[in-house]
Amino acid sequence: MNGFRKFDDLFWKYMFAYKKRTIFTIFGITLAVILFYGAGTVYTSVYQAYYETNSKKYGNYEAAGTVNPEEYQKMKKLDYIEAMLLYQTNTQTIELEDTERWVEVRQMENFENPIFSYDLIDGHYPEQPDELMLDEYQAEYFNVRTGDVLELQGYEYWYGTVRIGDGEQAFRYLQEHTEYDADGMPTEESLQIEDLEKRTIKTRYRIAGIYESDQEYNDFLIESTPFLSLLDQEKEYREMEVCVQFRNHKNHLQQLAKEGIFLEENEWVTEYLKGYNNSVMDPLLQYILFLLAFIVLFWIAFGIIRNAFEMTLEERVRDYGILRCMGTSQYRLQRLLRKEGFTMAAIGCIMGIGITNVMIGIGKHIWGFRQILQALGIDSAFRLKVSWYLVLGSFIFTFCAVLFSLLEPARQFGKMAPVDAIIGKTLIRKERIKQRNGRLIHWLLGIEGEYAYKNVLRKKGTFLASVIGIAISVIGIMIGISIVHIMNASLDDANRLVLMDDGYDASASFMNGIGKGNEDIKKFEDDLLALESVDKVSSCYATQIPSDGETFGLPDGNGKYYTSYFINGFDEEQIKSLEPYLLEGELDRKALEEGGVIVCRNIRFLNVLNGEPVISKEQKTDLKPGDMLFIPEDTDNFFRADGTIDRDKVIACPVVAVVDYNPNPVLSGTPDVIVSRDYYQAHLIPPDAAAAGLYEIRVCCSEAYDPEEIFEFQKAHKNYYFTDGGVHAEKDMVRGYRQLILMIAGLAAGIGAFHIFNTLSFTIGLRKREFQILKAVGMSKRQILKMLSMEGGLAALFGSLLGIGVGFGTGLLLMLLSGEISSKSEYRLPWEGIPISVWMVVLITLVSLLIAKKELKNVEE
Amino acid sequence: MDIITVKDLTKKYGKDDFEIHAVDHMNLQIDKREIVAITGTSGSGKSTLLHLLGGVIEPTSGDVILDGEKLYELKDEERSAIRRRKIGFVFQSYNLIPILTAEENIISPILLDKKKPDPEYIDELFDMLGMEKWRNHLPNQLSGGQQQRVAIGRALANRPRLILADEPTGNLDHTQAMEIMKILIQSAKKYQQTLVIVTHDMDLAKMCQRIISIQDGKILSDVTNESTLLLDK
Repeated sequence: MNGFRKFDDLFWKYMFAYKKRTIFTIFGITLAVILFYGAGTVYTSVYQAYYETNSKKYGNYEAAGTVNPEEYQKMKKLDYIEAMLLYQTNTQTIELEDTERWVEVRQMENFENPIFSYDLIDGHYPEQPDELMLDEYQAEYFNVRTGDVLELQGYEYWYGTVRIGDGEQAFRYLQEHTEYDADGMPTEESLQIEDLEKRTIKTRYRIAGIYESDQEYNDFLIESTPFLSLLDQEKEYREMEVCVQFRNHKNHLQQLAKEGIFLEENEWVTEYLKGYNNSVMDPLLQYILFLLAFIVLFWIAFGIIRNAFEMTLEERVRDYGILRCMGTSQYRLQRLLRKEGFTMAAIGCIMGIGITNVMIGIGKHIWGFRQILQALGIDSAFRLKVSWYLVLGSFIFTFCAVLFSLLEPARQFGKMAPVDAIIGKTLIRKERIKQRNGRLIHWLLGIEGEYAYKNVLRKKGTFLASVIGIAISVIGIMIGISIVHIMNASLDDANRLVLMDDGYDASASFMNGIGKGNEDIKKFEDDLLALESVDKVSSCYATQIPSDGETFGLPDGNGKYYTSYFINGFDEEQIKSLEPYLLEGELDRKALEEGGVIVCRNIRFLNVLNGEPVISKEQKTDLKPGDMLFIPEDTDNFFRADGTIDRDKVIACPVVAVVDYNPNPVLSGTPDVIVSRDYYQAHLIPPDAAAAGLYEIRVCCSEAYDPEEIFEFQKAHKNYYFTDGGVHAEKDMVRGYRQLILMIAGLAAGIGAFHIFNTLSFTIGLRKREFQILKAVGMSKRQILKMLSMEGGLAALFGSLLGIGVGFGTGLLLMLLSGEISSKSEYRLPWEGIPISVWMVVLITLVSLLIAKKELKNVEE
Repeated sequence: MDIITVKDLTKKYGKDDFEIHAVDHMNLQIDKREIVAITGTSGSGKSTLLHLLGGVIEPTSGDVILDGEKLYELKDEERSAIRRRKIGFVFQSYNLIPILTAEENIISPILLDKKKPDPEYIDELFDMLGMEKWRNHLPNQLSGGQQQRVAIGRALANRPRLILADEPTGNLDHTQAMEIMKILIQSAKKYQQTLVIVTHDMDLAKMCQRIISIQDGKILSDVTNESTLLLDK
C-alpha cells in the first residue's frame, strides 16, 4: 500500500510504471520548451547584447545636442536626467586631405563616467589640458606610446581638429579656398595666410594613456576616432556638446523640449529602448513576427505533446476502461490525465528552461553559435538574459499545449463505453475500411500494402503524428532555404564572398590627391592588387555634377526633374564593357574623344538574387542620341555666389549613345553619364585637380580578406586611405547565417526524427499482439517489415507534401515580412528544398525502419 | 424486495442490414440477496445485459432501476458514484490494473471513493480469498486463479450491494472455477449481497438460486433452482 494513499496517486504510479513513455513525453515537452523559450531568450539576449555593445561603442546615453552654459546649468537640476556628460568637440570635419593625418581632439569634462566608458590599457586618464589619450589602434598606427609628446597644430575656429605634421600644404590649400563671411568669420573661400598664422594654435600634448578600442582596427576610419583630452576649464565656451542619460532610460525628450532644450536621440541606443522614435522595428511588424513564431512553435510543440499523449491513451485505454467500470467518472479520469500531463509539463518545462539557459549561457563557446555572435558583432557582450515573462510564458505555453493536447484524446475516450475500452477498442472509432480500396491496394502492392493501407486508416492519429514529424523536418529545411534566399536578396552572391549593393566591397583613395597623376594611381592600384585581401580594383574617375533642380542637371524619365549626377571618365576597356548594354546610338570613340557623352537610361542595383542586377524602374533619364547635355566647365564653381548657374561656363556635350545601365561598380542610386577619360581629364576637371579627377578606387575583396593585412597596409602607406565597406562584417554574417541555417535545419531534422522514433517505437509496442498474430498466421518478419516500410513510406509521402506546402507558404510570408525591412527582396520558391527534403525523409524513414527492426526483435523476445 | 428492475430494455448494435438486437425489449426484476445466473449461448446478449445492469454501456432504449435510481437518467458523475459504491464488477479476464499490487488493486475503489481503507476489512478479504501471501505482488506475478481472487476482492472492497460477474471462471480450469464460484457465493451470502453471474457453464449456473436463460436478447426461461434453495434452508 506504500505510496498509494489516495486514488489520484495513480497518476505518478503510471508515470513510474511507464518510464520509457514518461521520459519520452518529458523529452518531447523539453524539446518544445527549448524551441519556445530558446527562441525568446536568444532574442532577448541578443537584443540586450546589441544594446550593451552599442551603448559601449557609441555611448550609453539617450540624447545628445548642443547647449549653452545656461541650459547646461538648468539641465543639471532636472531630476529625470540621470547622468550628463559635457564634452567640447568640433563637429565640423575638415575636408582637406593632406599627406598626413588629421585628427580630432575631443575635450571632455571627465573620463570616468557612465556614458562613455574608456578602459585604460596603459598609463592613466589625462589630468591636465595638455595631456591626451588615444585608442590602442591609433597608438599602433601612429607608432606612439604613453609618455610620448605630440605637437598638434590647428586653428582656433576648428579648435578640435588639429593636424599632426607641419601643415604647410594645408595652409597653401586654405589660402586658395578660404574667405570670410559677412560676420567676419573665415569661410573656406578666402582665408589669408597671415590670418591663418595668427589663428594657428600649436599645442604640445603628452600621451597620458592608451585605451582599449571596442572595434578591431576601427574599420580603418582612424581619423574619426578622437584623441581625448581634459576640458580646458578656463575657456568660456558658448556652445557645448552634452550627452544625456535619462532616469531608467525612459524617454524624456519631450519634457526637455518643454524646457526649450532640444536634443537628438542617440539612435544606436534608443533603437533598443522602447518609447523612442527610432525603435528598431515597426511594432506591428514585430508583433506579426512574434505571432508567426508563436504559431509555428506552438504548432510544433502541440504536435509533439499531442502525439505523446495520444499514444499514452492508446496504451492505457484498457486500464481506463477498468477504472471506469470501477466507478471512475470521466471527469476524474481526465483529472488524472491532466495531473500526469501537468506534472510532466512542469518537469519538461523546468528541464527545457534549464537546458536552454545552460546552452545560451555557454553559447559563446559553442561552435556555430559563436560564429553567429561574432558575425553580429555582439560576441563579447552576449550573455544569458533571463526574462521572467518568458519563463512564465513558457509554463503557460507548455500547460496550454498539454491541455489542448489532452482535450481531443480525452474527449474521444469519454465517448467510449468503459466495456469497449476494456476489450481493447481503439480511440479512433471510424474504423470502416472500404474493402474495394483495399483490394486495389492489394493488387498494386500485395498483402503487405493492403495491411499497411488498412493500418493507416485504422490508426489515423498515429499516422498523423508520423506525418507531422516528417512535415516538421521538411518545413525546417524549406524555411532555412527561404532564409538563404532572403539573405541573398541583400548580398549579391553569397557563394563568391560578398559583393556589396553597389558592386564593390571597399574603396580606397589618397589622403591628399594634390599633385597625384595617373601614374600614382596606377601604382596605388598595383599596391592594392598585391594584397591577398584584394581580388580586383576599378578606378573611378568621377565628378558629381550638381543640379538646380528645375532647369539644369540630368533630366529624368518624366522630363520634369533635373537631378544631380556623376560624370564618369571611362578608359577604353571600361567603354568596351558597355557594348552589351547599348540601347541606342553608337559607342563612337572619335565622338567621345571630342566630348560626346554616353548616358545610362536606367540605374541598376546589385542587391539582387544570385548576381542578377535589378534595374531601377523609378529613376532613369530619357535623353537620346542627338540630345545635348550641358556640363559645367568648372564643376567646383558651378553656381554663382547668388546661387544661379553661370551658363557661360557650360559645355554642351552631344549624347552619342544610350546604354541600359553601367555594368561597372556604381555609386548606388546615382544616374551616370559617361565620357572618355581623356576628355574628362582635359576638359571637365581643373588641370590641378587632386588625383587627376579620381573619385576613388573601388575594391572587390577576395575570399582571403583579412582586416589585419589591410591595417598593416594602412600603416605602411599613410598616404592611402582604405574604407572597408563592411566586408568583414558581411563576410562573417554570410558565414554566420549559413551556420544558423545549418542549426535550424539540424534542429528541425532532429525534432522530426525524435517525433518519428517516438511514434514508431511505441506503436510497435502497442501492436505487439497484432504482430504476434500476423506471425502466427504465417507472415514472415520480412513481410511485417515490408508492411511497416509501406506505412512509413505513406507517412513520408504525406509528411513531405504537407511540409513542402507549409514550407513554401511560410517562406513566402517570411519574404513578405522581410520586404518590410528591405524593399529589395523578391520571392523565390525554395525549390532546392525539395531534393534536400526528399533525401532527409528517405534517411529518416530508413533509420526508422532500423528502429522498427530492433523493436520487432524485442517483440519476438 | 427487488434491487434491480429492468424496464423494456433494448440495446442495438450496427445499422440497417447489420443491426443486431443484443438485448431486445427485456423486462426483469432481481431481488436483494438473490444469487442469479444468466446463461445462454455465445452472442445471446447475456454479457450485454450484465453491462447494462452495471451502467457501463448506454442502452438504445428502456431503463435500469438500481436500488430505486434510474441509472440512465443519471449524469456520468452520479452513475460513476453508483458503480463505485453499489456495484462490484468481476470480469472474465480479471482486468486488474497492471501497475498496482494485489492490495493496491483491492483498495483502489475505496480510495476512488475518497475513503480510507479499513485494515481489518482488507485483512478479512485477503483471508477469505486465501491471498494473504500475495498482497504485494503485481498482477503479472500471479496465476489466473489468483488474479481472479484479487478481482473479487476489488469488487468487494466497497461493500457493494450488487456483484456483477461476467464469465468469472471463463479463463480457469474446472477446479479453480469451482473455487472462484464458491468464493463468490460465500461472500455474497456473508455480506448479504446480490450476485449476478453470467456464464455458459450450466454446472456453475446450478450453484445459483435462479437461472435466467437468454436467447437473441430475450429471456427464454427464468427458473428458480429449488435444489439450491433447499440447500440454503
